[in-house]
Amino acid sequence: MSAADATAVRAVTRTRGRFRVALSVGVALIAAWTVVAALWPALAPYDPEAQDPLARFLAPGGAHLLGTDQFGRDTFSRMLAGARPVLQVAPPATVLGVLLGTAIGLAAGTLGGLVDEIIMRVLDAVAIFPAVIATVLFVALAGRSVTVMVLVIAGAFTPIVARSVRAATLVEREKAYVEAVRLRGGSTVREILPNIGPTVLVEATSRFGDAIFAAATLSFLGLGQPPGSPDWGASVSDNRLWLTVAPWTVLAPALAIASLVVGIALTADALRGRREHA
Amino acid sequence: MTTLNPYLNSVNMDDPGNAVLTRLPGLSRRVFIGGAALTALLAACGTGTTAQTTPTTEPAKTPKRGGVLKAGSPPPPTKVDPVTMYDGTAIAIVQLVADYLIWLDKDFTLEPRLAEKWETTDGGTTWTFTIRQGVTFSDGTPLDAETVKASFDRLLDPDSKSAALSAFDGVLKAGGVAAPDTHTVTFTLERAFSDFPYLVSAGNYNALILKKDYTGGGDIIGTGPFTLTTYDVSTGAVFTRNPTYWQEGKPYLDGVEIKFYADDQADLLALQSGEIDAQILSRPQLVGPLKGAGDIVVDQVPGTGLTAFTLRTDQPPFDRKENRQAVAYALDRPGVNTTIYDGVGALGNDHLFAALFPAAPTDIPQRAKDPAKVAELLGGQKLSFDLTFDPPSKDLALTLQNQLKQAGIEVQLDQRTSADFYGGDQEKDTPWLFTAANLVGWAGRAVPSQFIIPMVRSDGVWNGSKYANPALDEAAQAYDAATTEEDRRAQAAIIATALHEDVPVIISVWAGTVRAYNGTKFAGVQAHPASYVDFSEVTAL
Amino acid sequence: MKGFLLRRAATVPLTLLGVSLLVFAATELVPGDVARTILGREASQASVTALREQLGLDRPWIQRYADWLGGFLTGDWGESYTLGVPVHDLVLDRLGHSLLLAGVAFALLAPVAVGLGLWAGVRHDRAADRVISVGGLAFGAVPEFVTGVILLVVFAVKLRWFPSGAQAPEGSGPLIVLWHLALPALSLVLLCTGYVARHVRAGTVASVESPYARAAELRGLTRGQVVRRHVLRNSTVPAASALGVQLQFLLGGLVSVELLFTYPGIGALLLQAAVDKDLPVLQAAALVLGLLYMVIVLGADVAYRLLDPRVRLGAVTS
Repeated sequence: MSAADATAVRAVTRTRGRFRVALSVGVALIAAWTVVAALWPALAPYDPEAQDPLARFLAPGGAHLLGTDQFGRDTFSRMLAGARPVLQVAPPATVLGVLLGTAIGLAAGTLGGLVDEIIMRVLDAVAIFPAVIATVLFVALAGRSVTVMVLVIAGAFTPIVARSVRAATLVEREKAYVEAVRLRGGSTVREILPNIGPTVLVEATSRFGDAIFAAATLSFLGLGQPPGSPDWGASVSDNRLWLTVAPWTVLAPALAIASLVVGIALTADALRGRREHA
Repeated sequence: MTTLNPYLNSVNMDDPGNAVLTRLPGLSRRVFIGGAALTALLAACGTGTTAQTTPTTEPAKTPKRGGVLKAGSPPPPTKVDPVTMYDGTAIAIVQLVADYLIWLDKDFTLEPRLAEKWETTDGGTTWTFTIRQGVTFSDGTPLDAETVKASFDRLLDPDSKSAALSAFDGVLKAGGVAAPDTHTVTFTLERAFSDFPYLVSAGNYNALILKKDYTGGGDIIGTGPFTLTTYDVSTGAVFTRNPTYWQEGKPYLDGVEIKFYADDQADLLALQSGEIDAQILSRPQLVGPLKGAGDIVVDQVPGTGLTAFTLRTDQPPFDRKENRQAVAYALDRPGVNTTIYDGVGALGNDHLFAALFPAAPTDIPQRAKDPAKVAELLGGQKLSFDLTFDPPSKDLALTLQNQLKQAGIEVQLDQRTSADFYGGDQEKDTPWLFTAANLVGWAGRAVPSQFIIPMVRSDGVWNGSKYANPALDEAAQAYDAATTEEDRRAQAAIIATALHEDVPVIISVWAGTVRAYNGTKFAGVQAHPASYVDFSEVTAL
Repeated sequence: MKGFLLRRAATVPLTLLGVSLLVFAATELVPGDVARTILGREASQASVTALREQLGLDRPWIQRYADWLGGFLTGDWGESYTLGVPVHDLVLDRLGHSLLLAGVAFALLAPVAVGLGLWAGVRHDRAADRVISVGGLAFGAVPEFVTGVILLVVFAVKLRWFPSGAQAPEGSGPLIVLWHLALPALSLVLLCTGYVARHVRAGTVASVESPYARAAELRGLTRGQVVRRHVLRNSTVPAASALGVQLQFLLGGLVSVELLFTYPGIGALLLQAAVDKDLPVLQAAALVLGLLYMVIVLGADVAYRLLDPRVRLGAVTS
């Protein structure tokens, strides 16, 4: 084995090692929050809804690990309890939005011509329809529920994802291998799909973070989670008014959101990296 | 996705959040403000005398002149029109520019402004007001009795669409105002009403005296301490000193700027960063925790604002009186006061007489949390209901839900948008008057009748509990007509006892109000129980 | 290319018409009453009914839509129901502010995000890449009203280096205007950088590892030359697409930043109009934003065709 070969092998090993670390950290973060979402009643030191007028704005430490909020509720317990509403809405909304968007974008990109034109113009109309009206209307007609939240958020994501996927598809479509398949009369979609994987992955990870916000926004409007929900996004928007007085009430849910999104990003990156290097 | 803000809806005068309070950090500042207010009060009282006589007791207190006060407030939801306005910012803007016949002081006493004096000669049916002479509008037009008459005729016109029509309902109608000479205005009422002066005071906030030719949407020209220079629906309003203001020497400021903040937090941070010097509509829950931090001073006054927890007495589950009482006994009222009003409110006792009202009964025991009583009243039955409210009442709803849960009463929260909650037809279906249980904020009123007549009389326009009690109806009428203090108290006792016993509405806390300002730059900014503004005595430091 | 542009331009009015009809119809179904909003809850029901008639709200919605459309097309955008000011001036004034803020944010975002994405892509799977990717996502996961508040508390309240409001006083010079816009623009850049950088990185990685880039390297070009000659060009395709998406967000989705920094932009106006059911304002704001959005998308698509030779060829063949 030459010195150059040895360096190359070491580089590959190092890269693989890094992917392994990233993957374990990512999976661990997701797993941890999933476990918390399922088991928080056993883990939380306090009832996350319980108010105590004599214990408002307590700083972290002591009996309250992460302090208390304007109602005297325990921030740590609320952070744990918030994992459940977040995981009930954001993942299904992201998956649905990305699936729909990918299907539409792929169809538009591969079929091209008039079909592409029509699909994209309809998506434009969806994208420019004011989200406020859409959500208020949807909730007024269908009632307030997790399903409605998932549908509204997925609907808002679909045009964005579709546009990105279509763009990636157009690039792939003109490549030689696709051309070859087309000449053979095979399915071009099956050839293109794996190659637009990175784009779909980027969209999925970015949309996941957005889904948490969007859910928060709906709760904020009184159209999503019930008022007082420990949902992280809702907590951030509820507590921000007291940021200068009790920053922990905003930072705890904000860091929880960030850690979950980062966990998903690490996992997605590592999986893609492993495939590329395989 | 667009992020939306539930607090975007501008602050309605009846937003309960509007009514909360806090205190001054430094003793020295408090004393100084007290002194300044006293001087001002003496100056205001002596219409014939000049203020020069006061410095003998208070040497070297000539107020400094100049400076521009910048105040933050939510943008008005509508065009500013004194006749139809109802939100705190619009009211503040017009109050800087125009005057009432009578101002409402922070302790609810009546202070003569454009009316010098008033009297009734027949037990409260006919009222004669003497109009101040020598007052001119900022454009030079002189004030006379005809102008005052025109201002009230404008409000009383059934086509005016003014909320004042509701306030005058059953008391005064179009045609009841006359101007027999240039300085006298008489009001002929539909029934005797001993508190009538309150209805033509600032307590009826649309009752401003405007020029005869004012029409909705036109320039707002008044006799007030400032004149409106520019107004922009997006950014704010700029005022300059009215050099011909009738209260000589005032205002001390050169001008006032009101900047619009659609977001509570932006308003708060602007105050903390020094971008603005004061807030028009401070919320105790938000400025309370800032007390004493940096330059921020929070003035507070007790008030008569409230959030009515209305229970529909004509349908299950609250057609059963014991259920209503059980809810009332399940509440930890001091806890509500601390959490929602930062401790500046006063405990309520489920009747509509705040301790500030002179006729308030004192012998009804204060209702307090009593789990045993709750269990007894419920008699083993499970109580569960939906509570409907709009975003400004969200925090209160959460606290009530939590407290009732501890007493075994289950509450499902039904939050609506403000447009939805107050939309619909008030005679048929509007949620705030037709849901089984709801939370409705009411700004402070100067007299209890302003609550009792619309809210709990059987024919009240805003009787959301659908409460009907002939004894109370009769006592409410007699209360308004009462001419002696004794008679008043007797009627008040009947009304309060009935409400306390029947609990059509739960009044857990009487909100106080607060106003936060920068104490290193200005003095004399005061809280007002109805969040009104009078900046004519504010001085720059 | 000309045919493409013409075809696309022709669909714009149709799309806008459809959207306006939908907005109008949808607003009808949302609970609430603009007449009640104007008069307040203490006005009598009779007054509210009278105002509804005066505003013509008692007529069937299709008739009101036709009236509004007729007016809109002939340049009469009407008056705001609630604010009583001409819609045309109000909407365009607010739009101008939004364009300025979006422009400043975009001018910061584009070079920073594309630069970081390229760097991460060229050095993919190294430390720099990791930091950029994870950091971008983490910032992208914190709502702009949180980063915004933190920036405000630190730089406006504590240090007092920047003003807390984003609107400069009338007649300020460009530097003062920029100084006022710095904090809101920064909070937006923090939010959007991750998304754009990740798209650029994905495109860069693909082209760095593509056969032609490898071939170029084998021909003796340095990494830097390869990046400049081949990778850069190929990465601009996803960059244009991702930046297009963000530009649309910057123009229409700034409600929370506008509110937090008290900036009179069109996002907050659109929201308020929707909440109040102020249809003339809502329609005008939605259509102006929609038009702008479609122009941006079209621009991105054109850029796309010009930048990518393969798509360019594809367009010719199709």
